[in-house]
Amino acid sequence: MRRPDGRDALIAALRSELTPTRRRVSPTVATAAWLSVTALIGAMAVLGFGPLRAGWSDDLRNVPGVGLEMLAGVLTVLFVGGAVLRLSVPGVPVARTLTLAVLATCAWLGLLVVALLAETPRSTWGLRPFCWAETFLSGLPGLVLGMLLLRRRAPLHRGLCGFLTGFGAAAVPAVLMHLACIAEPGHVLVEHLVPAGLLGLVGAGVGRLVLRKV
Amino acid sequence: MVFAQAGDEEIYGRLLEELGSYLEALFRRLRIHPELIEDAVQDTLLAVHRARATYDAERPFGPWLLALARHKAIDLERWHGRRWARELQQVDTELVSWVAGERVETKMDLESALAALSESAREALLMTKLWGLSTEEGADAVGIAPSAFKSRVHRAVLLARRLLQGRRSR
Repeated sequence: MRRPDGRDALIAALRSELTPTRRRVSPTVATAAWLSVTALIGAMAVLGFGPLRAGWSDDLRNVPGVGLEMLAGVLTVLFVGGAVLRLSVPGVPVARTLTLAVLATCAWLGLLVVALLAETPRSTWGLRPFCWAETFLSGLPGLVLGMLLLRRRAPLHRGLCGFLTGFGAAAVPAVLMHLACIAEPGHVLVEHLVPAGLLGLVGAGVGRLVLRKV
Repeated sequence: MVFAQAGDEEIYGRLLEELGSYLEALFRRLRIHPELIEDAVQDTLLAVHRARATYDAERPFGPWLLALARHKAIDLERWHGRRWARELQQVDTELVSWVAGERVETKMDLESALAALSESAREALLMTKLWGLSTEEGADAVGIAPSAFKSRVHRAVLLARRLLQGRRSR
């Protein structure tokens, strides 16, 4: 059991090592910055691995499922990104954003499962043989950037923050893969979304290792 | 906190002292294990120091502080729970013989008997018989009079003994 004089010593030590701190940007601004850069890098990486598939604009116009899945994917990225940066500041309400992130992810998965069960015909043109690896690798820069941002903050749940950072970063290329690779639901689920989940798990591990314990 | 962010040591020291007293009262109200209160206070002060740059003056201070305090309390309780389970696994024959008058058949018997006690009774029993606190120290930690603490320990012992005997006769 610690004694009260330990507290006095602690306060004296903390006082003596006090240095002025720079004000951190708000979670909203940080989210916007992280998402913009992650989306830009993700898009450049996906396009760097190869061009968009032929007929992607026709698919977007004629197959409503593709557009809806992409919309759900974009919402997932936005809400997951918002939740990460909000989670990194103690006391900032996050429950609503986190709930929306879960709902958007469920909607994305749900639309794909429905399309899979309905066996809706989808174009199989433009299959990328290593799309799973491309999705994973394209998300890595976003994960690194997110970790750098989080290290300057005080996330209380390091594993969860790391998971969301990895998943959010890989969800960007996963959405773009709807246009760059085939949009067949089973393929999207296994080859585009599983890597995003995997990068989430990697992020959870990295988060526990590199993020400061508050 | 804004002054602390600007590097004002004097005000920061005062803030930490006031926070210390506030957190101590808060953790007592939240019924954090008495043995853990000082640890929880000091851990939270340390967390305040580490996270001070993330405080936004445009937001209220309370939720920011409470998020840190709650997180630290949960962390400590979890750690304490694991330690309690470990201690229970290698529970003293001294405690066993003191409570039951003789050896209990299995550790499981003792665990379930202790689990059946109320939190305050279990706490009093473990404090005095396992952690070796005196009646005065235990009473001080729980915040009641030594005589009341002594009778709490006595009641806990009687109840634990009855539970163990009931188990054996079954």
